[in-house]
Amino acid sequence: MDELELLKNHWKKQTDFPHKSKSEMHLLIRKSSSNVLKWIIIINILEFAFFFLLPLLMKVDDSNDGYTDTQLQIINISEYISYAIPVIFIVLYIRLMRRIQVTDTVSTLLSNILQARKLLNIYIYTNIIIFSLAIIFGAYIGIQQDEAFAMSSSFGPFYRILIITFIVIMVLVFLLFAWLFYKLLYGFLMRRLKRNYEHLKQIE
Amino acid sequence: MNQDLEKEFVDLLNANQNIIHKICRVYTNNLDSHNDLFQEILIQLWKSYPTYKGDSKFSTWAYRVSLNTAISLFRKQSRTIQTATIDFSLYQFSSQDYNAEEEEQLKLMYQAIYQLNDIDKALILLYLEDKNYKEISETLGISEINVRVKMNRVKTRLKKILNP
Repeated sequence: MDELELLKNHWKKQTDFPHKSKSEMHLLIRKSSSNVLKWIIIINILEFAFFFLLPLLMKVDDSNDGYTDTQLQIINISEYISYAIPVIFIVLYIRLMRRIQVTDTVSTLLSNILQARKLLNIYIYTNIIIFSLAIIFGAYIGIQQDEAFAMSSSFGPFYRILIITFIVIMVLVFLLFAWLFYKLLYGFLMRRLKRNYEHLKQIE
Repeated sequence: MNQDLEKEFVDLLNANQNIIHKICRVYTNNLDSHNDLFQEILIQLWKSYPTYKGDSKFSTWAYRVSLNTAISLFRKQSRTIQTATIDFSLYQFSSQDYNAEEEEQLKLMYQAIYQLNDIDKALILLYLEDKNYKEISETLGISEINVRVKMNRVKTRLKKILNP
C-alpha cells in the first residue's frame, strides 16, 4: 500500500482520542479563553491608555508665565492634537477589530489581525515622534527661561552644546527603550502569526 | 445565550468532536496541549455559533473555526514542556490492522507531519479528510491552483522522508 494511503486509512479509523462527555463540553465552553488575540487586545488597550494619560502626567506647569505668544499657540495646538490623535486611532482600531472573525478564511483572519497590529504600530510611532518633539520643544523653552542658564551662557558655547547633547541623548535613550520594549513584547505574541501569514503569501 | 441554544450546540459538537480532536492531534504533540487546544477551539466555536446560519454543514463550518484557532489564535501554555517529538502513547495501532513495519511507517509519517509548518499541516489535514481543492482553497483563502501545487509538494516531501 502507498504510504499516504496507509496514513489516510489510519487517519480515518482513529478513535483513540481523549473524548469529552456532553457535560464536560458544557463546562469547557464556559471557561475563559487565553488566546493570542485576547492578549494583543489587552496590550493595545494599555497602549492607548498610556499614550492618552502621558500628556496629563507630563503637564507639570500650568501657568502661562514666561511663554511668548507663539509658544503658547504651539502648546495649545499640540494639546488639541494630543487628544485628537488617540480618538482617531481608537475609531480606526475598532473598525479593524470588528473585521476580525474566526469564521473567515485563514488568510483573511491573519491579514486582519496583522493590519490591526500595524495600525497600533503607526499610533505608537506617531506618539514617539510627538513626544520627542515635545521633549525638544520643552527643553528649548526651559533653556530660554532658565536665568541660570542665561547667566552661564557667558561660560561660552561649550556649556550650551553639552546641554543640547544631553537632551539629544535622552531622546535617543527614550526611543531605544520604547523600540526594545515593543520588539520583545510583540515578537513573542506576533511571531507565529507573521510566520504563518508569510507562508500563505509564499504559496500565492 | 439561552440553554436550548447551548444544548443544540453541544449536541452538534458531540457528533463532530472527532474532527476537533484530529485537528488537535496535528497541531499538538502531548495530552496537555491537546486538551488546551481542544478547549480553546470549543470556546471559539461557541462564541461564533450565533453566526452559524446552517447554510453549510456544521462540520465544514467547525473545520474553518477550528483551523483558524489552531493556526492563528492558540497560545501554547507555558506549563507544558515543549518537545519536538510526538507522545505516541496516545495513539493506538491495532496489531490486527497494522504490522510492525506499517506501525513504524505511520509513526514516521505523523512525526514528519508534526514538523511541517502550520499552513502545510492544514493542507495535509484537509487532504487526509478528503476535502476537495475548492473546499481547501475556501478554507485557507488561497487559489485552487496554488493549493494543488503546494499539496503535491508537501506529499512528495512526506514520501521522501520514508524513502530517502
